[in-house]
Amino acid sequence: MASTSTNKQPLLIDRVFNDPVQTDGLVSGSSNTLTGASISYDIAGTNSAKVLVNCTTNDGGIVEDMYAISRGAIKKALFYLSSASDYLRSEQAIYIGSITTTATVGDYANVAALPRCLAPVPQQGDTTGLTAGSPLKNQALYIPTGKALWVTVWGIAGQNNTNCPIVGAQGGFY
Amino acid sequence: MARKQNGFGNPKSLAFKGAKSANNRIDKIPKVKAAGSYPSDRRFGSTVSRTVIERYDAESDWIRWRKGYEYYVKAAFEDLEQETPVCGSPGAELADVCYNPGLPVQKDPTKPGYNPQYILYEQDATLYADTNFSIDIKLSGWHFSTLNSDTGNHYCIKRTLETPVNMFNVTDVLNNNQAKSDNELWVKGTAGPDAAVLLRSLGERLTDGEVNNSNGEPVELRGKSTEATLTYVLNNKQEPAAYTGKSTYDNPTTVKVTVDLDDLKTYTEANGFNFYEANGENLNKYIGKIGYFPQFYNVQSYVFGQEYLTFKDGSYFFEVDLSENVFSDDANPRQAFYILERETILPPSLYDITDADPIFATQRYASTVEGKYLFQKSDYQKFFGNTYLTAGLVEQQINNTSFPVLPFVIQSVGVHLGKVTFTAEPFVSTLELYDLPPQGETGYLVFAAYSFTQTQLDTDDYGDYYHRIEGPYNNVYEQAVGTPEFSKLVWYRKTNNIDPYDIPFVKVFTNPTTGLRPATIYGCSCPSYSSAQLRMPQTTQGPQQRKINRQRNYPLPTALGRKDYESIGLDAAAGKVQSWQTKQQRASFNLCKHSICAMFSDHLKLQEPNTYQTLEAREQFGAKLAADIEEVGVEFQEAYRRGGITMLEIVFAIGQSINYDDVELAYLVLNADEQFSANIELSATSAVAQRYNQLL
Repeated sequence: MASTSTNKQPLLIDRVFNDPVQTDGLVSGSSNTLTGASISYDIAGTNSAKVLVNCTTNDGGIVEDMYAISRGAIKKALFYLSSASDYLRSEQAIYIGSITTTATVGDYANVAALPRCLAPVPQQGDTTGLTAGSPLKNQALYIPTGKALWVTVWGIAGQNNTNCPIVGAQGGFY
Repeated sequence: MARKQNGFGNPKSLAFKGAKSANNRIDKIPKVKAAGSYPSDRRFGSTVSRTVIERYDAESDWIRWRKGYEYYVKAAFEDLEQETPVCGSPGAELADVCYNPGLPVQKDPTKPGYNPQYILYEQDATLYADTNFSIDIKLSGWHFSTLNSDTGNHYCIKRTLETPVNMFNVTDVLNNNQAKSDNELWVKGTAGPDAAVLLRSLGERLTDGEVNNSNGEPVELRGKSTEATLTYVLNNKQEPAAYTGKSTYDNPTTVKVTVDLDDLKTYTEANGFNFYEANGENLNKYIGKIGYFPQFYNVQSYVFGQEYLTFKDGSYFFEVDLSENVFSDDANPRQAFYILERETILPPSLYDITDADPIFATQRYASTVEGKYLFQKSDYQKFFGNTYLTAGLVEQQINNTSFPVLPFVIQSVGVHLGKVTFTAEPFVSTLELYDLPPQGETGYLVFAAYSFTQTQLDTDDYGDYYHRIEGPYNNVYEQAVGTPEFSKLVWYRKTNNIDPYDIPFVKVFTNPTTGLRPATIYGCSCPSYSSAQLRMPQTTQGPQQRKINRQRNYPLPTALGRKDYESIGLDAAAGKVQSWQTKQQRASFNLCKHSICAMFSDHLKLQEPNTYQTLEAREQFGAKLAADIEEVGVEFQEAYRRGGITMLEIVFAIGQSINYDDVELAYLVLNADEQFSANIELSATSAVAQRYNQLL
């Protein structure tokens, strides 16, 4: 544990990170032409993936945003948490979200949904649509100690060779 | 809290290590002990830790070279011989020469009345017997006296190739940074006509020499040949072309063979002997006999989805289930099934089994081989980069499989509706999966960078031959292509510790037209060569003396032994052999004083290594070497007395020279003793037993 980790509020971090990776050639192992109930984002076997944030041997971290910058193809970047940081194995990988990019080069897309977290909202913002009495909450993704955040792109070998987006995650280590 | 002491406290606490002595006398200083940690109580789990210098001294190749050279010049070795079959005996019919006890002994074949009582041990054997890629080899040997083995002997076995083989043509030696950091050297080339052997040669020493060039001269005569240990074969996509899996103790391989009872009743040997009738039609008499398919290596093509293999993925291993049913009858005959008497002192996989006379043979049978095999992903993952290796990926890649069914001991016999089923004792074995390339396809070979040696004519820097010309020749070049009697006397020099990444670069594989083939091997049964200890219950101390180390006498896996997966196979032979050989040691150019001496004896001079010991160790070594050579005579007396106790050492040495993997080696070691005991009770009428007679 970092010496400054003690008694820290959930969003007070030790050092920041922002790790973008290029995703050409990454594949999740299930075809990106599947539709309806056949769609699967689970890691089923042979895949190619990269680690975005590795907390397998540190005190964990928090991700405030995950983003993807298009390089000219509609692709779905898939995110997983796994207990391993060498390879993404089906037994260890859990799907936690995705970002779909557009065909326009340079288009910036953020993750649509992150879990709500403990940190309070410092100031009331837009409350449209909230029911009366609903608390406002921040959203963030904790990466606990012993886990790594992985990214791959939906598809099988040969489907993602070129024009895959740049994907990154920004946040901080505890 | 520490107690305060007056002044400087106890003066002893200020003394230097080694200067302490009884009564604080400094005129009698005890001997300084070794710097490393050598626990006096060597119990299970205790560890010897050497200092860097002690380790360097102990592992110096120079010591082995010096001892080997000394053994050679002092003739502290003997050629391995075997008894010549007595003329008129069944064994003599199969042998090239026989011994007539009624005539005087004449050892020289060039003289009249040639009548040798003993002849040099030379044994023909076949690798991958009965397949279309079989290789004929010849084994010969030397023996050395020692106190470190049951028989008082260590055996050094030389394996030479009898069949010319071209497995791979090197076109390019790659300077790959990743390979360099992994201690590997990659070469690019094309698959040769014998590429099928190449995939079975992982761990084998390959050479581009030991063959004549287009002028009919050995390539080493005016050039150099390179030799190195093959660690991986890669296909044109730089992915592994061979995967090796091992069966586990929980799920060993099983073999069942069902034959017609009528065939057993009617089968007669060439001399009219019917085993079934002669044993009162008792089927249980077949228990303990050896069941045998001539193709030890069952090679089959594999197309994705075929049912005899089932692939299952796991996190760190993938598993392949094998269930192969073979049906053979007159209309569609496959390889024959034989049952053999246990006739020889050697396990059947070590000699040319076609010499053996079966007590039953048929081509009408149904057989089932079943097993589960584990493949360790980490052995291959590095060739796939980011892509995670799974069973599915391998299943799509491979086009060929091979699993050995070594001769097995029949465990039980059952009869049902006129069919007799023989069941083998379950055994641990290997399954190999291949992506077999067609001839001419580009591929890559990976060699261990620390395993390179080069061989050339033994000349000085100016090219002048160091030795006397033998025979009616003017120079060494004429002698080398002269009659075998003199050409075998030409001295060649082998240089080990060649680093292919040295700057300036050492050129390796400089004979692009000769192809690669298995090199001549000098294997040895001693721990220094094999990094393994064979059991030796009663050698170093007699019955009246205290056994200082039970584990040495009865080797079991140690605390520093190998991991589970690596030790599958040899674990099964615990009690007979234990190994601490690492992957790196296995892939190295292994040496011991015996193999170096054997090379010298074969006119192959190993260049003096530069790993010269430190001065202190060198001085101690001189005295030790003198004592060692002094003892040789006494040790040989012991070796002669104990020579016939067991075949374990020689079988182990042969296994080493054939490059058997751990699983096959364990199988040999396990069978060797049993086989030997059975042989002692053999009747004198067994031709095969006499053909492969007592080795001395």
